[in-house]
Amino acid sequence: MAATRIEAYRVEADQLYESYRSLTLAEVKTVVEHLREKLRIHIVKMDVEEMVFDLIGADASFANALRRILLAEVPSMAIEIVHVFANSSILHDEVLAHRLGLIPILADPAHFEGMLPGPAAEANEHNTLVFELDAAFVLAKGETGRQKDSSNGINTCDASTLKAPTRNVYAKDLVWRPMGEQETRLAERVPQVAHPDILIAKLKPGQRIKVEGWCRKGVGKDHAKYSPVGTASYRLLPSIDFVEPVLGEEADRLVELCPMGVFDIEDLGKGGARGAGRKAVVARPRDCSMCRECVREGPGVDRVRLKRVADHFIFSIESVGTLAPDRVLKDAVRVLREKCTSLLEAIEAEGRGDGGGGKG
Amino acid sequence: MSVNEHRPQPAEKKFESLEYTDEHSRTFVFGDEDHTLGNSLRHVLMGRKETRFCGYSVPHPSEPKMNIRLQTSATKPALQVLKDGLHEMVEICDLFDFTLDRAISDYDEQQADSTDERGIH
Amino acid sequence: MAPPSAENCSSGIKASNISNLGSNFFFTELADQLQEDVSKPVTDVADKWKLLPHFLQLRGLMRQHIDSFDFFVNREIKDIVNAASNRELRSEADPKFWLRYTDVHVGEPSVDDDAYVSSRVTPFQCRLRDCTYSAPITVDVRYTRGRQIVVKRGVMIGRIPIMLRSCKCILAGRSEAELAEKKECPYDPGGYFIVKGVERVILMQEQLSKNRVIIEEDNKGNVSASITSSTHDRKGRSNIFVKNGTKVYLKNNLLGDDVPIVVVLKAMGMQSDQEIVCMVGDSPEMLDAFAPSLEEPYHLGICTQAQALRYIGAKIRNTTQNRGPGPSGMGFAFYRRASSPEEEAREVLASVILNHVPVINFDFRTKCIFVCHVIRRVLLTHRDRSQLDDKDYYGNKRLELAGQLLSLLFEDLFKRLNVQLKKQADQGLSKPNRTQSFDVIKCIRTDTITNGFIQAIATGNWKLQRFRMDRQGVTQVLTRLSYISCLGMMTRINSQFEKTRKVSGPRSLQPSQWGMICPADTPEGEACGLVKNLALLAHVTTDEESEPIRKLCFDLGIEDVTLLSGAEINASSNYLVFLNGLIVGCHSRPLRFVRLLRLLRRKGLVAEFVSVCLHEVQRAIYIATDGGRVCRPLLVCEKGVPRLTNMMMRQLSSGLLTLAELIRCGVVEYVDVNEENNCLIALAQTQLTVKHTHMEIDPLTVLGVVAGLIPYPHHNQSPRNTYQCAMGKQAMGTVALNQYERLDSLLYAMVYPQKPLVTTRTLDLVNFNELPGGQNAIVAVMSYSGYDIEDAVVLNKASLDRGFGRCLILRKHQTSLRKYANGAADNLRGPPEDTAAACSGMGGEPSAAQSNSAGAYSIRRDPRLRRFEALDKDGICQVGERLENGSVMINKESPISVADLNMGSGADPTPFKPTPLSYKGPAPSHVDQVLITSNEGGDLLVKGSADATAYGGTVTGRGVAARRNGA
Repeated sequence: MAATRIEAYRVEADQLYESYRSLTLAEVKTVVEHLREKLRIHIVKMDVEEMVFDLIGADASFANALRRILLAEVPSMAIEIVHVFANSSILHDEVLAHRLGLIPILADPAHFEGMLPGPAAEANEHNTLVFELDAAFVLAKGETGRQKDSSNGINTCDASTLKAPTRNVYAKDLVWRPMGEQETRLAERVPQVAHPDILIAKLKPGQRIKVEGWCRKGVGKDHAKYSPVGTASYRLLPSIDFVEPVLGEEADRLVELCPMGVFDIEDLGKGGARGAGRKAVVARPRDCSMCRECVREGPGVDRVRLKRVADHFIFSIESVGTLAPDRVLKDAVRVLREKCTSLLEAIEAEGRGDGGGGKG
Repeated sequence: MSVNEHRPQPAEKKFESLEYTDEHSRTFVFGDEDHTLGNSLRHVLMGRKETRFCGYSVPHPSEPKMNIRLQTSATKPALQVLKDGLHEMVEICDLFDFTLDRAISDYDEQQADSTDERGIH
Repeated sequence: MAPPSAENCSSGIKASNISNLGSNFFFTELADQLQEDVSKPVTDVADKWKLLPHFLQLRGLMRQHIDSFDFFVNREIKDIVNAASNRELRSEADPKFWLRYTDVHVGEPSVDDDAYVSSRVTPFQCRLRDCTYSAPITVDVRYTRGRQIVVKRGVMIGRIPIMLRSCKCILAGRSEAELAEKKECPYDPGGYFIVKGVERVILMQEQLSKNRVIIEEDNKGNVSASITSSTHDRKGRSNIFVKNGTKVYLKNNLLGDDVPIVVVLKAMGMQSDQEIVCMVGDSPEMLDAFAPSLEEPYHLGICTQAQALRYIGAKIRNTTQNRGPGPSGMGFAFYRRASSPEEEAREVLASVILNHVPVINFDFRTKCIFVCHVIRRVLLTHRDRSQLDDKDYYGNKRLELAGQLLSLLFEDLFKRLNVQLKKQADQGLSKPNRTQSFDVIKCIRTDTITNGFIQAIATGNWKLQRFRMDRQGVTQVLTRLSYISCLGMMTRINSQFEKTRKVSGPRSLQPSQWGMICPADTPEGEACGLVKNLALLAHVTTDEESEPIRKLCFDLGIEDVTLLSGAEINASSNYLVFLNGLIVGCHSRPLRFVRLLRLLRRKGLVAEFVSVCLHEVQRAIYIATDGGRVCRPLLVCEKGVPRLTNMMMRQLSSGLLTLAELIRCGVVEYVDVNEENNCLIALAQTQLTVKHTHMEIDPLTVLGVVAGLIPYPHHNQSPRNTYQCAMGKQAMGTVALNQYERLDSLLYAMVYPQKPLVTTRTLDLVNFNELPGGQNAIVAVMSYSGYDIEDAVVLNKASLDRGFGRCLILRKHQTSLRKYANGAADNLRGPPEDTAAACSGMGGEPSAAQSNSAGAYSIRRDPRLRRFEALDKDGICQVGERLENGSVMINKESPISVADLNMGSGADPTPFKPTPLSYKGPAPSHVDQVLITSNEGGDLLVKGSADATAYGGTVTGRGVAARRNGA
């Protein structure tokens, strides 16, 4: 009796997810048992910056947990503390520090320890990376700064005659200064900025910026600069089907209606129904943006059915360049796992601390 | 640090079980957790046969707390079901990791002819 | 009666001469080109709105203030000094003594560093140094010293604050690079003053026109003509009104009682009833209405001029103020002392009552005609109330600009200076035996004028003894919340009505304000509708010489009114011609006259801002050359075709033609509110018919600068636009390009301001893209529960982390080290010893990461000294130091006694008490910059500004909503 009640509830709670219907009606399976059968990952595209993959068979809560961890809880390195020795540029120290913080730093966070918050935390070679920036725009005597100076790659003066010459300070001007054993420890991958051409500031003749940026390990929850991804998002795979076939000129119409080019024409030959010979088919359902143009008017109004596949997620991860997207994803899974294990420990600790107060 | 920069303080307690008479119906309070764990853990707990009711909430976004309400059948106490659920989550993560590795190697094989110069992973 | 045919004939000849002249002009080279273009069919002038940038280039963005100041400094100031009553100074002590001003100049802006040295100065230096941006006024004089006649040039009589970007300002006509060199923002509109380091604007003041007859109903329901006469010497108000619905009386403050109008006429020499009736009008209705007034003097037993004068003389209020205690010929005497009541009455009638009508050698003829005309209009209106004038009609309003207000003030101050000089001359010359001959020039005290100007502009209290004028709030501090707030302030018009009065008339939007005044931009609440803003292209005129126009009128066939009889003046075939409210003459072919005058104006032979307006009901032609009229440019159309052609547009954009040339050849003309009544103005080319005389340049020009920033304003409910006008000025963004150098007392500056994605044409015209105020936010609107508080947005935290809505708040703290009369002075003292030692220990370049803060910790050991942490050895905080609540920024100490003279000079050190400047604020901040300079008094001035970063969140829901309305 009790069992049926539970099952009835379960259907109600999760009835959105078709994949669970079989589960609830047949024998009771746990989620992990279900996933062992159904979970599939198919990578559509992957390079150093971007990754698109299909996550099939999982529940939205997992997809969302992954997405949230990718954005906010995968650790990475970023400049946290800036010591300003000289800053005569137009930028205020605060703004300069903020800009420096947002520069992606190419360094493996696994090589570093996290830092306790607060001023008591001591910086050391295991938790801090130091970058130096010393940029000045010095004009030699007689130099106007107007002519393009290509001899040293850094100096780019404004070519226009009216505006004062400026020297651009780029991310590549940040130089890593190894502390302690860091030089040998990080020899295989020397810490550096991920994108050398990020503009930090512009200097007028005579201005100088000399700062030291201390990188820390952190997570996106604390500040967006620690987020290893530009964005991570998922959407459900659109499912488009026909209640009845769309043929002939109407098929052409439908193809034209779709701005994303989801439909194609299939040639049925002369023997086709009603002699039309042409039929609309769904060729690229992934491209569908659910704009609903096809069902708004025209031939598709009551013949096309727009739905989504409830357990098929098209996941996309855009890395900021510090960590490869697949690495970020693996880190995210590890973070989720660690969350669970650390909670289990906390529960044990709580149980011990309580002295078995769980009895009641 | 800026004037009105807000640094959230870490929660006092990582885990707390609110005391009720019945050990089969409990509200667990998780410090420093949010929807990330809350929703997926809820989902996993729902799938367990001892669960009668499971729900989660984040009472206020500026408080680093997440509640899970769990009611179980007489066969197992709620705390035990919660632990089982967390173990299951760990299993799912391992499964996911395994599946992902296979998918990556599949993809790499597929891309074998083209020059593959991906960096670290 | 003069033969009308002859009159017509003569005017006809003259007129045809003029038209010949005009057509000759028409066939000059420029006109050739015009003809060529006109000959081609013009279907549509593409993009006529592209004229707008040319207008703004010609006139400048906030040109009206600068124009009026230029006019004052170049012309009016000379007129004032050369005016008969000011030009010469004599002394009662010595009849041989005299001082004559021959010329006056305004020099280059400078600052007196001390009593002997003055140096040229830039406005920016004045802002930083709390100085006044002013230039010396110098006069050329001839005067007697002993028996010699001395000629002196360049004698300084005072300093006048200089309006920024005016012709006397060093910024006038400078290029962007030159302005940058002077640390000035190239987009700053100018038009304001810098007084004691504070930027102040003289707001435009809206008033009823002077010297015009306005017929209204007084509070008893009587029809009353009120005339506010204003000349350089005197301002007064007279009423000619129908009392109890029958008799016409004259009311003036100087007369204790209302005087029957016919008595006044008789007193002015119009003794014959026949003549009066002719002048007022001899139609039967008119006679009936006027008869009771005409009988009045006989009841009083007045038949002759002498009797009438005696009657009026008895009514004159015997206040000393009116007589003017001042010395004769100088200062504040309003009229000459008279021996008998008759004489006095004559004097009053000539120079006090309706004093704007000139009476030369007691020839009252013009004044009589004027009074009769007013009586006629009052009686006509009494019969037909529809002829009442509308006080709120914008053609009856004049805007008083900075130049006019300054000229009033200057005249007052100049007269005061002369009174002082005279007093000193009297004293100096009356001494029986002098060792050396008296030299007036050495007596000139420049403070009178200098301080007078500074006081008035710094406080906004315009106090003029002569006109018993005491206005408050004439100037306001230029708000630098954002660039737009600054622009908005320069177009603001202040009304003289008291704000408490609950009348809707002056507050409501008048149809005649179309194109002149922004319909949206007005504050809410008590000043609603009283404070207005100029529309984008509206222009305010300056005074124009009226004498040439007067001569031209006669050339165009006007008959001199003094030579005509009443019957001729009032003849139904004749139109009266008024020039600035004065009757000039009659013309029997008004349409032709008006057409010719306008033709001359379009040919550039008459000044472009002269307005000609034909009033058919009053059968009058009004010509106005006075200053303060609002006018706007329109495209001239002929036969349903605009004279502007696509060819001209092309030439304009390529620089072959300028807008000034277009105005000179009559393609575009300025039309004021009164003249608009004679125009038929098409909104768009598609509406053009043969009847149309003008076409709008662009519909967007009805809005002002601030309302012009609203995208799609015509899709909004009208109060939304008004709200946005108030809020747009509060937007945070960029104040000016030199904002970080300016050291404003409070600056909110956005770190990453953005150009708006949805723009308007006005936006480009006012350089808003160069000095943007705000950021573009992508707002998702969804319905859900939880955070759906009305008028609020939920912000994405990562966006804030990445810099969305980030701003800097810079606050100025300053103190001056004063020198006291007893020789003591304020002092700066370094931090207490312990801290100083720790500070020096910190010196040198902080090297490695680990060893950084050893020095910093040692300072904190003594908690009492923590507030001195930010100080450098000289007692002034260091740039970059962190300030907390209570931190000392400037460690000043002051002498305990500033009165005791022995203190400063004595050998023993003066005891000091600490008077530090400390930081107060809930949140810590950092020292951004420190400036040490000296002000005009030579006192050392220390300014510092501290900054704090704030995240967005200041973006209120209301602000977002307002802009969303349109987009």
